[in-house]
Amino acid sequence: MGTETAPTIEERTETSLDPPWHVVVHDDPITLMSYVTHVLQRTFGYAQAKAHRLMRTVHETGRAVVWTGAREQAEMYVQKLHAAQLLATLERAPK
Amino acid sequence: MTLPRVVRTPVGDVELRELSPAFLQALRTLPAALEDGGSEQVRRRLYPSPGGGEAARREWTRLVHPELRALFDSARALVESDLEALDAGPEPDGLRVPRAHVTAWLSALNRARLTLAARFGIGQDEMDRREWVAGDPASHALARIHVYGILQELILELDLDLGAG
Repeated sequence: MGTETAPTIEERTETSLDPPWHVVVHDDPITLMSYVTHVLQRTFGYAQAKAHRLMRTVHETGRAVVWTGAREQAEMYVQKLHAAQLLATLERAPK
Repeated sequence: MTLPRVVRTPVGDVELRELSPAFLQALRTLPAALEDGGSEQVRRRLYPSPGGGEAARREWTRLVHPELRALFDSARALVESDLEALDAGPEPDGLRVPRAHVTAWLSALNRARLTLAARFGIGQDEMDRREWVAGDPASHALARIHVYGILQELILELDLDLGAG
């Protein structure tokens, strides 16, 4: 007796085709480094050491990629960073 | 300048103690420091673009900036309500910030610094300057930027667990 199996359908969601996006924080001469570190910890849940390292990169090079992922999430993070008055932008991550 | 003592209470509130006249004056004028005075430089700094070109900027302005404005107004209202305690009795030298208001305070102090800097054209060179010019509004603004920064640092040093934001 044979068994019929339904054909498998491979689902590909739209999000799996979306390229990732960078959240970039930019330096400014007024905002305290300690405040930037604090905001990165609160916004992304980063440990103090990682947040401090990212802050140092912002301070020393002018900018740092602080997160990479789906566009919608990246936009949400940029909005949160703007709410804390950090200069932040979205960039399409290179393929 | 005598620095205030900033301590955390057992319930997680922040107390600013031994506030000198200079710090009291800076706190009393904090709401005014949050006024943008119609300055386009202030508006551009506090409501930046997310990048990605003009279309993205317009969409961000339409969708996000009203929410930012509401958040900023809410933080200002909390700070103003706490500052009322400075006028509650004779010669106060301290202020208590409830734990639930600390994030609003950190945001308002930061925003005051950015607003003053944008209004008076204060950048890195001015921040590094140490001379004071009596009667010069920009010098006065720079002094307030530093005072608000000291208060921010003292609060951040308490390493309060303020939760995710």
